[in-house]
Amino acid sequence: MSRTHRMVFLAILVANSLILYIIEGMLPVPFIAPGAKLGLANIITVISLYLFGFFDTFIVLFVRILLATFFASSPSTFFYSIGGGVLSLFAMYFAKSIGKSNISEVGVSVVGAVFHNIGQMLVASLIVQNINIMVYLPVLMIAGIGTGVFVGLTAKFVLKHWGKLKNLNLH
Amino acid sequence: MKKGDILIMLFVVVLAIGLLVFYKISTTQHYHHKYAVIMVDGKIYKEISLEDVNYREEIPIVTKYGTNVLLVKDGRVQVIDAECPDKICMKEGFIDKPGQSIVCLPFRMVVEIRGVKNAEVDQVSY
Repeated sequence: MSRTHRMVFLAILVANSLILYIIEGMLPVPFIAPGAKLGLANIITVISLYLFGFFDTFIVLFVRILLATFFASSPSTFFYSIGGGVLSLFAMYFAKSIGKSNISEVGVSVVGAVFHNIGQMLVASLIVQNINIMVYLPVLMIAGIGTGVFVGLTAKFVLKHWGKLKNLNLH
Repeated sequence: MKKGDILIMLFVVVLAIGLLVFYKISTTQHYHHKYAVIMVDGKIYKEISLEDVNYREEIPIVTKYGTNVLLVKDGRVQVIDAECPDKICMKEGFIDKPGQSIVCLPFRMVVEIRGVKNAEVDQVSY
């Protein structure tokens, strides 16, 4: 894949994840615990991690969060998103590297969802300077399994069909 | 789905249940004095005793980020009005057990219920 192809693809991934992020903000989600949501944008992070590796995914993630802050939310959410997103990416990369063939996209995505919650909770407890708000963590972890499986399966389906793009002479 | 995936999920479930049990144990101890602490930016804004069940007060919490209104009633605390857009703190409902808390991230406010623990030894006689 040439540099231009690569750049265009990363830009498409950023655009996709941004749209998913904005759509997610419009969906009504039942209130389970503060901070619980679907994490649709993580679908793109998982796909990107499998296709382009750690560093390009980091760029996709960072640009998405930066743009999402401008488009969809208030500036203070930037820190929660970046804390959760970066910790989640590191954890997913770690799980993917040590798991190798034993862990599929679903497992990687569950790890990502759980660590996204942990990262956000850490940032939140830093901001309000109160570690006791970590009591929400167990409920968020269980919710993270649900959303993680959903996100992982979606990413798996996309990756399965990725091979067809070879006919377009992109590789 | 592969074996590793199941293993990860089991691990997370066990960890979450472990944490839940730990929190449950640490909040079901007996307390002889219960009070709510309102904190803004990590500093104590106000403390209210929750011992008197008939006490009722609406407390506006004015911070530089915005205003929340807290209702103390029947020995419980609840956020009844918030200026923030998401109103997550209002959805959390009332709290009345030591260890529970309501968090408002946009206004950096935490309402936490604390209790003074019963002493291990009730009485010493000679």
